[in-house]
Amino acid sequence: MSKHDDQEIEQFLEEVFSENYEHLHAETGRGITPAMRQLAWEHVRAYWRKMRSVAEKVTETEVRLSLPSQTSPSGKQFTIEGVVDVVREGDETIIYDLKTHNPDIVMINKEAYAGQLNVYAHIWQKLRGNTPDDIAIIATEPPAEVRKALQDNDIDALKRKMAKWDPVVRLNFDQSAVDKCVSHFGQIVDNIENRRFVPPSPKELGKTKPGQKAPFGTAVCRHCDARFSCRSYEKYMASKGRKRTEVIVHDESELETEREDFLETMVDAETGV
Amino acid sequence: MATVTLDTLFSKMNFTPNKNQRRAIEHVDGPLFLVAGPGSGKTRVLLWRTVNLIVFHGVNPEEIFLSTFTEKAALQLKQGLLALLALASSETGLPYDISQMYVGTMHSLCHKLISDRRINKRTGSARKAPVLLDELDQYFFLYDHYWKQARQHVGMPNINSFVNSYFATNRRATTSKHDAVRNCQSLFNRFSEECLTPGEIREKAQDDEMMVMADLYEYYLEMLKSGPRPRADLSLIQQEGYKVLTENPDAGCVFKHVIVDEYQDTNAIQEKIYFELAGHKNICVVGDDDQALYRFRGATVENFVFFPDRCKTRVKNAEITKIPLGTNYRSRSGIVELYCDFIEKENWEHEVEEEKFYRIHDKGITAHRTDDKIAVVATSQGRSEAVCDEIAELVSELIRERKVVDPNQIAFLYPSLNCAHVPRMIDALESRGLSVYAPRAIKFLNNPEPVAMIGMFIKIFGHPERNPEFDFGSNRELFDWFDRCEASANEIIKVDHKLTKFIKDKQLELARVARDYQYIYDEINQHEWNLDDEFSISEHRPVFSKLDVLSNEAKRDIKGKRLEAVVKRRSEQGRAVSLKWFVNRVTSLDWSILDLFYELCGFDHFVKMFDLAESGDDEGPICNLALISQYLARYVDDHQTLVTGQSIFTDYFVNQFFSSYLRALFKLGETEYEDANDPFPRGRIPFLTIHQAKGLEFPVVVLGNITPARPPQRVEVIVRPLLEGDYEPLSRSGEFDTMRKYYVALSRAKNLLVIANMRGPGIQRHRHLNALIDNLPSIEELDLDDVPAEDSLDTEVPRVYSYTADYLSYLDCPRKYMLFRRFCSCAYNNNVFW
Repeated sequence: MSKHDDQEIEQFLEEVFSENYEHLHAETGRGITPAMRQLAWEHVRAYWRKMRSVAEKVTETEVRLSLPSQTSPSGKQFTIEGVVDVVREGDETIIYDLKTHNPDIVMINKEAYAGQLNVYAHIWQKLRGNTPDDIAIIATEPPAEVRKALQDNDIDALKRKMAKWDPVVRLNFDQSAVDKCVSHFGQIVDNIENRRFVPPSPKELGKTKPGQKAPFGTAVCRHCDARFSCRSYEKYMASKGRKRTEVIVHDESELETEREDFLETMVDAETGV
Repeated sequence: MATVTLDTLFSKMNFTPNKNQRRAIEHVDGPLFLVAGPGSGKTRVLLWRTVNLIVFHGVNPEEIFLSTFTEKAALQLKQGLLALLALASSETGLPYDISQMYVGTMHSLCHKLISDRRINKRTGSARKAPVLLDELDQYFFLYDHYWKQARQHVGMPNINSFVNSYFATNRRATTSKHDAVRNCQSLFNRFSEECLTPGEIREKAQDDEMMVMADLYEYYLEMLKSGPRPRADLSLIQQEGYKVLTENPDAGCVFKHVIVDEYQDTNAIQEKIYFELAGHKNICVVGDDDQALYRFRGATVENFVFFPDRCKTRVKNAEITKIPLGTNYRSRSGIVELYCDFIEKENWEHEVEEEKFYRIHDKGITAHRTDDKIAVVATSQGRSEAVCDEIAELVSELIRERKVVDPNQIAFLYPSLNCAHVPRMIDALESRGLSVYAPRAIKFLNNPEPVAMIGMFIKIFGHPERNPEFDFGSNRELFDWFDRCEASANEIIKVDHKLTKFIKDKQLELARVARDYQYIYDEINQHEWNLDDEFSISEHRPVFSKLDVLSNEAKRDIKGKRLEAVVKRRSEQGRAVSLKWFVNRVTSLDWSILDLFYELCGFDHFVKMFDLAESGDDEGPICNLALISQYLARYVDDHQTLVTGQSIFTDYFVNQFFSSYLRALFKLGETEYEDANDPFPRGRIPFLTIHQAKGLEFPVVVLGNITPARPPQRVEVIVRPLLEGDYEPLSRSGEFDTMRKYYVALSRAKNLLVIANMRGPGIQRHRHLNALIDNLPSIEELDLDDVPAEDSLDTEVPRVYSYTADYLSYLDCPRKYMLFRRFCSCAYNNNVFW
């Protein structure tokens, strides 16, 4: 394919991206900050450049895989559903799951992701009669240096960084993991049906999940609107000598930047910029 | 492997269809007219029929158009299809993907088909669907944008009283703008649904008032089209959809099968669309004329009753198959006999034509459950108080004797919840330690949760001022409500010193931004600068930097590096910021009212409500809090995201939020037609209007009131002369509609139906029901041992759980899952969880 085509495709992608953004904006009335929008677009563009070969090979996109007739421990009937992309080349079938996550985090968290893909592979196998040859996560978040090269339009750097970036994390299909995962799924269905909605304990909030820089209560809870009314969060914060109305951040300037981002976006909307 | 057939799948699902169900499921060719009585397994038949088409007749899901009356029903059908198709997949080894299938309400499907490349051959913006205004959006559009201009347009300063007197029947017309807007809204929607153009309305108008209405409607249509992106309300979007279909010749053949649920509640424009879509002649309509409830929304049950005739004219060479689904699997035989008896008490004969009826008679309704013990009882005749007590006593006994698994399986149904018996009934139940869920028995905003929450907002932003000139009627009610909110907040704050301090801090913060705004604004005036001028770091900033009176916060922002950087960058990008931008930037609050809501939820009074829901003990309060969050989010999205110093200083915020937005919500109330939350919160007895109970079933139903028929709505009387066609005469439609309403109420019960038998001065009763209940056994005669116990809370079709959206997000945090997925609270920061 010529350079010309490349540009055309990217232009097309950008148009679709903008259209989609405007549509969401008009429908929901909610904007995102220009920085977020830029980031999202870079995300899409970098992903396209890197994964084009895979993207073009995908034989079935967004395949809905369902595992019917499951029974929870308390006897509740349910169906498990997931969505994957499938690539078939010759006799080979690869099931991909797209995650907008960072590949490093996926690598570190392999176990957690494996459960999901194992279940998907299992469904595929039951459905189509063949075991997928490979299962893999595509972690679409481009590394910071790729984004920077894109922003700076530094072609050389981009080439190097793109080459270094590997968004595909391969996992191994493990039938024994499937049963464990499905049975756990059933327990969760029971929890939901029986209205068990207690948050993780303060101790859990204090644990740092693999791939995260800070404990759950800091890294994740701080973005949750419901934290103010959460008893676990309150206790977690108390254990750090803080109030529940506060958040813990690595660097105080982070909060200031967020505040400024918020204000600028909103003022833009208000003043019609 | 043995060949997979429908029967293979039936047996896997333990489903044994009866003869007519099977005929309907296996029918795949030509128009199908399914007359489905209460509890006849209609949804099941629809599901299996669709599965049959997809799995055994090779119909691509994208070639099926399946429309439902509500989004909730669409979701249930989708879930059911996913489950059954997954089962089919596991047998056939083939994938079935319904993600692109048309399943939804007519307006959402119209929205979709406008931009469908298969149907709309136009390109570019001509294939863009307009921005959709729902009912509340439409109201605000009319109230805030349209009204003033429309008044000028028709040159009518007293437009409010003009419109209201046109709509007034027996009571005095008001001068209320709210009433006038509501009246116009209902009339405009009827015009749109009937596809009447302003020209046609003028042509057929029988009075001068209608001529003005045509002008107003024309101007409304114009205003919707102007602006950066055209807008359409829920009625006009269907007109747009219809237009697209008629303009693209092959559009009618895109869908091989058109399936319409609840066809008795379709309106004129929808009927047109369905026939337009039926190019392949495979149109299947499902419904029950006896359960038609939505005439006030333009629905005409005649579409269903006369479907065979109309289909013959509209679909060429159509052989129509009519299949009645009459076996009721829901109710005990006594209940079935009662509602069958009841509906036949009315004379349904056609006005003009002989042997023609306004009702389909040969429905073959029979009960599948055959026990002949008492299933319907009436209370003793008596005053409201005594009747309520008798019912409450029975209800406690039913719960005590475990005739239901949860109190939410006992439903109280009323023609309208706005009557004196309802609070009396609630009192009687609560005095026996039973909880009710009746968020709409009173206006939603009168519930304790919104009263407390809005009270907090009043404490923080200030009490809107009562204008003595308008202190009467619904305005007085509104300000009385504000007072109650504030009083409730005071009670809560009194015992929570942390909350007291929080409120104080917020008040100070508001005072601060207002003051900062004032100082900066004065300074701008002194220099005679213009707010639209470009903001200059070198010229303007030094002036403000020197303003000592400003708060430290404002000073920090003004002197900050970030401001300089932004101004510079914007200027380079050719998007230079104005002085106005600067003022807003340094004097606005860095939180929205939705943030404030969530922070307030962190104080004891509200946290307790979260606790009740987390443990599964009581979901009532959290349901109401979630609804408040949705209303606040709507305000933030549609009206004002940023609370600026200016809007605090000028009272613009208070006027907008309290005197305009909440005023509208308060006056609109929750209409009795609003969808009910289903499933109902556990641990509570639901109180519903009959409308809200449509499509639902309950082990025990109490019909709390049997008021007589109401005359047809004024808007119907106004519109009818403009219409052509065979309609029920207005003189009888009020009675017909009331019969149908009670038919729906009576047929909701599975095991036991209780009817309140109130007598007393001022109590009017529906004549046919009245005649029936005098012969019913009394509560005393009922032997509770004869009432079967409900043994599960299970739904029919297994639920589908998504690996990511359900399983993983529950694992992450069950509490967050509950709030944002189960109760659909509106989140502001929802971008982090995966």
